Amino acid sequence: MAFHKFEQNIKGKLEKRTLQPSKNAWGKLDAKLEGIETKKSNTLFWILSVAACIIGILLVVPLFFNNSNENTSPIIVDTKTIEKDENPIIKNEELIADEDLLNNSTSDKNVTNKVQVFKENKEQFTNVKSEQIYKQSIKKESIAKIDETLKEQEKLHTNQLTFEEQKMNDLVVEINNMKTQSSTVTNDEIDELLNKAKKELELNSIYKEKSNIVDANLLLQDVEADLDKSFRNKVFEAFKINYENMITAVSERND
Amino acid sequence: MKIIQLFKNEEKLLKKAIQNNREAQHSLYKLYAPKMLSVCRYYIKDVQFAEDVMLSGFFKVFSNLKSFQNNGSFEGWIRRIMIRESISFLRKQKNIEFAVEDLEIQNEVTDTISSDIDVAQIQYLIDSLPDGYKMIFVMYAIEGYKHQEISELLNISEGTSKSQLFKARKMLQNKINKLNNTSYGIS
Repeated sequence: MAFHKFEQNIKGKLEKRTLQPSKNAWGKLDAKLEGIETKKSNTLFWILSVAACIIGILLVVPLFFNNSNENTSPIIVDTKTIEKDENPIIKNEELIADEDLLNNSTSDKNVTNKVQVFKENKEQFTNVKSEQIYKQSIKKESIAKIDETLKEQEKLHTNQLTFEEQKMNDLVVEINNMKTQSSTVTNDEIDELLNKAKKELELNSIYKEKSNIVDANLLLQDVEADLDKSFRNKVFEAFKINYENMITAVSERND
Repeated sequence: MKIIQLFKNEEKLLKKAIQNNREAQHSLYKLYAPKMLSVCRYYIKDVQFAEDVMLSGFFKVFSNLKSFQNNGSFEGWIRRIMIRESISFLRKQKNIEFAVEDLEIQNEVTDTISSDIDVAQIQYLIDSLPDGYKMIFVMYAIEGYKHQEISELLNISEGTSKSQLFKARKMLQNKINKLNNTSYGIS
């Protein structure tokens, strides 16, 4: 009892006691607190930088994948063709499934002879058939489209060839006409006609009908060729004239 | 009136200190450091070590101010932190042994213990106790902890806590009697 009182007494006295810490104690604590603040700011900086990197990656990755998709666009065209090829397989599978269904339906008929089962199977069969018809119609449409495009391409091809063919035909007709008019056709005449046709073809190649633009390079080549020819012709003509003059002069002297 | 003003001031200081306002933190330190150093001194004999423990306690206080909820008093919260810091310091220093030695229980149980004993003498008596006795005695008799709380904090059984307290009390009683005898003898 007395000790309990003593405890109360010392408790009161000790609680009243205060001890003044040393002068530099706050300085130590302040330095410690500063250190943790800088650490916190550093960690915050790192967290922010990592977050920025992640955001950057997330932004760049979709762009990269988009570009790669653009580059691989021709592959998508190929897949279309594959789809075309796959259709018959699917169709076959469906047909097999249909057959199975039909077989199932007949077997069910034989085993159970229940009308409901038959009806259900019939409905399934009709559904499958309608789907099949629908797919077939789609396929037909697609085939028709492909045919149309092929025809168009052929037309374009024929249009490109017609000019040359026409020229060929014209040449043949002209030679035939010449043959009918005069019984003999010399090689020179045929060469002349061929040269003419060649010139016309070259002219046609120079002038692009689609774009209505004259190809500058081809035109220059053509002009240069003309210039060369004219110069050559001039020389030959001069030579011819001189040669004829010389012949006449020699013949006159002999006379 | 003054107490209300002080409480309001403390609230303001706490809000600022949570936002890492160093002046507010310094004010809180100035307000509570002397008391808390005294608390640490109950357990730690050396004042310098006690001050170091107090500083590490304040460091924990300021870095965990956000977790302080106004359920109890701020002083009580700091005090609990200081006690825990002191206990962990003592544990780091050496393995605390909770002595099981038998004490010579004197038959003469003094009915009266001199109340003239001053604080320095009280502290001297507490310091003279073994660490295990000292911790349990201070926690129970001065801080007002229950045996269950002490057993949880020190990782010991309640029975050990009770027996250690009993032995600490007896030891103190002997020391006080000796002190009284010597003082009477002197005087």
